[in-house]
Amino acid sequence: MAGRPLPRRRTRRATTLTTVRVPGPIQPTFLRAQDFVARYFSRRRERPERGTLSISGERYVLVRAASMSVEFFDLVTSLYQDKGALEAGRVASNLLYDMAHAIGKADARSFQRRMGLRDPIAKLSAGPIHFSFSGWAFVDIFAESHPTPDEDYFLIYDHPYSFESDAWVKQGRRSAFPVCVMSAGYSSGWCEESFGLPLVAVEIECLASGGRQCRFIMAPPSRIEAHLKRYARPTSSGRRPRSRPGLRGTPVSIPEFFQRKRMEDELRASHENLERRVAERTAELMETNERLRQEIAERRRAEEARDEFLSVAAHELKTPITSLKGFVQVLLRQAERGEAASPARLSRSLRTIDEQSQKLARLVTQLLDVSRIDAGRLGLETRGTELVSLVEDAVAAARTRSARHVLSLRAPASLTAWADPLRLEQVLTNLLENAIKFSPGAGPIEVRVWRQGQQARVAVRDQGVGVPPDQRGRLFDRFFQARGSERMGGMGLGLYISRQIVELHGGRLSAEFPRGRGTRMIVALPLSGELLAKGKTKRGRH
Amino acid sequence: LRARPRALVVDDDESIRQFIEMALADDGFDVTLAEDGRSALAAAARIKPDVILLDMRMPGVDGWRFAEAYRAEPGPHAPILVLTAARNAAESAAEIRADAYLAKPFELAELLRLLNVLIGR
Repeated sequence: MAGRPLPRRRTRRATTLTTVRVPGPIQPTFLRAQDFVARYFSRRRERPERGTLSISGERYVLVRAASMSVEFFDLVTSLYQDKGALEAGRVASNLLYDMAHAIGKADARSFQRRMGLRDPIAKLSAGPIHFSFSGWAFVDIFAESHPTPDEDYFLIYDHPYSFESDAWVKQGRRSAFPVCVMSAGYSSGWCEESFGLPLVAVEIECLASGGRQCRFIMAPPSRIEAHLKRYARPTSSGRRPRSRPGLRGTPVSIPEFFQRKRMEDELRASHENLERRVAERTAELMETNERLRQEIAERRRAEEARDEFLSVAAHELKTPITSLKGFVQVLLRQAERGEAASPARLSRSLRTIDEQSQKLARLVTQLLDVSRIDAGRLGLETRGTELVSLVEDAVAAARTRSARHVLSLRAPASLTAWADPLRLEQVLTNLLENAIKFSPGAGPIEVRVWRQGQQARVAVRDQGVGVPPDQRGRLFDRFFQARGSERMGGMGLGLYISRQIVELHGGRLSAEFPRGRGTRMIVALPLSGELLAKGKTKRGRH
Repeated sequence: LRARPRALVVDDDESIRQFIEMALADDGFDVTLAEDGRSALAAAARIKPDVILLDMRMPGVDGWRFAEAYRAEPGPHAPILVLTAARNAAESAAEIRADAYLAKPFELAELLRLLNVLIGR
């Protein structure tokens, strides 16, 4: 409708609303619309010689009403014979509803522009009047309607003189379903355009299907079913609103347009849901895959570590056994030849046999410890342990092992740690042995015991060869042996086991490399419970 | 053939070197000891051994690197008897084209028998 605008000035204004029926409060708006539409339709020009019919410069097309209703349904029904009347009705309704909905939207847009309207009610107002003037039906909107531009939008109205139901009634036919499909489509299209929200209209009672009137409700698709339920339910009380005299005729039928839309929505939602689930499952699968890959890699690493462990362990065990067996066989061979071994050879052999047996026993103990640690079964028997005397004993034992090294001890009179004394002694012995072993120049070894915060600490400091910087990170690794220290013997398990033991205590074993030389190993252990409590009380007083 | 064949014993474990030295000396060998591949190479160049008893896993120049360097020297080359505690003793021996191998721990009689075969005594 891009035609000429109508003159704004009105010569005569109607005072009664005759082309539509609406609740009182909105009547003034509809009066203005009636005035406008009446003048619009008064400028009608038929020019059959040019095949045109125009209203206020806008071209219109006249259509036989029956051809768009009962006869259209008949045609579709004959086309869809095999599918039955109901399915044919559904197809026809669907086509008509969609087409009318589109026309309603287009007409609404055109009138809004032509009238220069902003307010939703004003935008709506020309619709029913145009409806009457163009011969579709009369519109009777009930007071309980609630036309607001939101989800609460609700319209209940009748279409007296509906061109659709009329066509059926005139032919003396009765439909199995409500037939005013185009009307429902057109008005919902117009209102949708006016209020800017999706709307659907449902004919809840139809003259053509045995009703007493053609009655509609219009609402957003999300609400329509709730409204339908409300209006389809027969009211029990004697007093009924005008719109609810008790429905008659066929059961309420929802326009196919809405059902299809809902089905499409559902289909889309289910499709999206499916896609999402597929994506989720795919992600889950990939995650599982990745986890499996990692687990396999971890297991392989663990297997490799175990293989290496077994291989190193076997090698290390076989060496003292080879030596034991060798010395014994040399002596045996000599004896079998009837020779007597010299006292020097005998004592040297027996001393080596003794040393190697001891070495073997120590290796077996270490291997057992490692396998207990790996299995998480290295149990501790922790208790309040007097640390100073424990360290004193360990230092005294170390002194007997090496006459060359000078061991000094600085410690308080007493300090109680929470520890397993046997395991802690094992750690201290290991640290002291390392200090001796890696101080080939017989440098001094200083041992210190002190309390630091909530920890009891023991440090063993040597002035020996230390650990090359590039190897310090692996110092506590299983089988780690500092380069050049292999000849010092051992399997590289001592510090590994010691750290595990200290950590099982909730403590920490760390290494420092003082700028001078050598190594400083520090054991940090939790204090015993009593000491902790005392410490706390003391702090509390301050 | 020397009156007292010369054996070079290469092993990083002192006690093993000791008993092999005793056993071989008892059996009429002149024995030279080396604690790793590097000193073994020097010893081999010096004494021209008739047989070499070689441990494989040693710090620094190990059995593999020793064999490679030894064979790179101008000959003649003494036969090599591999003595190893590794699981795959035969494999290690084959890798360095050793003349014989014994897995540790071994029978002393077997060691002496093999040595005599190797030196053709």
